[in-house]
Amino acid sequence: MFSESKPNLDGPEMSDEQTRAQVVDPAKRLVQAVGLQLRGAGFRFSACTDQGVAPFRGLVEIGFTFPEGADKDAYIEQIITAMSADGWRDGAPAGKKPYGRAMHQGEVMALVSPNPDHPDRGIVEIYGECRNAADHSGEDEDIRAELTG
Amino acid sequence: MPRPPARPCDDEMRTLRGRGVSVTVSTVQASRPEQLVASATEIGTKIAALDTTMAAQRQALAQMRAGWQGQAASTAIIKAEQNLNRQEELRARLSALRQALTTGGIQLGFTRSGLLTTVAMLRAVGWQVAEDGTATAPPLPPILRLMAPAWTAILQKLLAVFAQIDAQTAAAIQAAIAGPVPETPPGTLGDPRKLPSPGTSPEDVKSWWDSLSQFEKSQLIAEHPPELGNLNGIPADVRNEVNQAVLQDDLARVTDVADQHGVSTDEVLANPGAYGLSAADATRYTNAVQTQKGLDKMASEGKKDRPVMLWAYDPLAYHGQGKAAVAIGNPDKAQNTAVVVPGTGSSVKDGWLESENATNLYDQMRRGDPDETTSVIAWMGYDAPDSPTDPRIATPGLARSGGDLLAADVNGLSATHEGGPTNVTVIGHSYGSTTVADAFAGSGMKADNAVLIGSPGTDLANSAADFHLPEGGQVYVGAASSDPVTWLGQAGPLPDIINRELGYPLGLEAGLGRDPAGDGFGSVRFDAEVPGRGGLPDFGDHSRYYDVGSESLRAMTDIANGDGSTLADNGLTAEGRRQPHIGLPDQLDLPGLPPIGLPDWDTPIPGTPALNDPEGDRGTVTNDHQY
Repeated sequence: MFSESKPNLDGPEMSDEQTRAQVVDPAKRLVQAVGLQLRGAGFRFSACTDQGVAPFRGLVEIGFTFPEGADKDAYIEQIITAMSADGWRDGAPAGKKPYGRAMHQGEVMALVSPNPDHPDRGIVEIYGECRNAADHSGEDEDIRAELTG
Repeated sequence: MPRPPARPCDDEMRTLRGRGVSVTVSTVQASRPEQLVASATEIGTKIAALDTTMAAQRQALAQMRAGWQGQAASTAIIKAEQNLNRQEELRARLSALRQALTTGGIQLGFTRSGLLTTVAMLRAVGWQVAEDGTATAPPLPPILRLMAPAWTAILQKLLAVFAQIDAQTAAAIQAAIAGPVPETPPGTLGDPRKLPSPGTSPEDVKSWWDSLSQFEKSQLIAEHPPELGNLNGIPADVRNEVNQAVLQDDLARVTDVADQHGVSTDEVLANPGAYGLSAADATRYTNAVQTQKGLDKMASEGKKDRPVMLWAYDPLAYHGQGKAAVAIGNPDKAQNTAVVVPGTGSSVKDGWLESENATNLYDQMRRGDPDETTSVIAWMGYDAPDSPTDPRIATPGLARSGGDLLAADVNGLSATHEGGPTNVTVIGHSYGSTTVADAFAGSGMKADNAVLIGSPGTDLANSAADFHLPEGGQVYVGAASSDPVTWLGQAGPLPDIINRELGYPLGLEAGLGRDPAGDGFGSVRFDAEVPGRGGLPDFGDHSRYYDVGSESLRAMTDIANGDGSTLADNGLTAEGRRQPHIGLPDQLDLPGLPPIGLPDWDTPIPGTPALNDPEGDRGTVTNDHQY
């Protein structure tokens, strides 16, 4: 509801490419390391306020299917282990209090959890930093091929 | 000879007489119109009994359809349906009869008493009144004779009117008993094909819906009248089916025409008239597209796979800004339901349904309490001010009318809720928090807890007590110390004055009532700081309460999951804002004179976080940051 001349960024400004890479690159490494069975995967520039204007962060959302007969908790742990190996640290960034299994790299936050509405499915989300000052529509980009390819 | 001016109704009377209607003063005197009214009342009782019987038969029929198959079943069902149809016919006739008797009885009663009073008055002063209404003056004084034609005209007119009403009533009774089956008023149990009128209570709407057979229900859903999808008391899954069908109609109306003419939808929308459509059709399409985008985004197919329902949909509402509510999770089955109410600048047209407020809350509620069923309703059900420059933002008018609509929708939830108790939380942001406060304080909204975030003031509610929450219910408040909108409600006229003097930097949104985060409001304030902010005002911080990971969303998640009482133990509560005052002493002591009393002239100072907000300098959130 309020326009401002200069968006208040959470750090030095990042380009669209940097914003995208900050979340898509680790997502790609995770999917390939664990061999996640993707139902869907999307990237978008997500507005950090609910007004749809800058600043924007990169956001990856992944829906996956648990392997047939797999123990869900063990499988989530397998994902966490792969993330740790890729430089993620346990817990949410300082000051953040989300529900869900949280991991962080600096201020980038990942949430991993089963999907409570669908027992066979799980969710991975990766939230980037609010450091993009360009204009974006918030449209979702299908990145399944990019993550698995 | 010219016709006397006092008798303009001769033609009418001749016509009546020509039909063989003959009513005399004695007939009128002997009539008992009040008996018609009494009969009507008796018939009303019979209709009520018939309604009960029919409701029971409908339910029995529905069970029969559900649980009995085969040839014998079909025959029995057909017979039962025929029986019901006959009863419906009887009910419609009784209802029409009651109406005819009531109307006739009342009208005849008035006419009778008018006629008899006039006759008695004339006779008392020596006039003679014949059976046909002819008035003859007494011999003296002779001048009275000149008035005789006028009195005769009046009396004969009254007799004619009586005869006319009598004939009409007789005809109406005849029609009710033996004519074609009369139309019944909408929403009566006697006619399942008609919807209850808009003012019907959700409980009555629910009874009506339950009284329908499965076949009748399916038929109504297939017809998808738009009112059915917005009617409180109709189960959410039915509303969803109906609204989705209406939305598809709204899309197809334009895309079909575009296909037929081989042009783009944009071309059709630019000139709807050239393609046989109206401007309203174009508006419906535009808002249908926005609603569909919102539904798709909330569903997040393949990723989050959220269960979404279109719980309310009226694309032409609010001058084309549209009305819609999307429920994530079925509110009729949910143990925890949260209603998310947006503020200024939000509308269907402007794409609020695509915002992440409701989805973030839903995801966090499910993760916080995966074993409890959840529903979050993204409620774009009122006309929010368009922008900070919308003059309507300066007044609480839209909040109050929005409060009425919100209260009706929220109060309707209980009528269709299944199973055990439900925990309902209503959350308002910005101007939406004023709407929520007004819904509780002014419109009788019933919910377990209120959450106000980024509130510019609570208008009708002067304190938490005005929310009339049930025992254990709280007004929870999230107000970031760096959100300038929340400084506005702090007290008194000063925010308004300062805002005006500075040229309305905050828009006109000043002075919408008290600040619910103030320490005297009686609310529970929760932490809602934006990480990395040092208490400096930032309008962006007015719009980050639903940020995933924020302490504000964490607190709202716990509240909406029914765990608000754990906030303090988890270190999520905040101290209220202190409101320092510019105070004058109560009295002036002057040497040698008695003290002089002074008026109560305390003026609260509008707050700045550094001065009076304990949240403005919290180390954990504001300092522990990477830069």
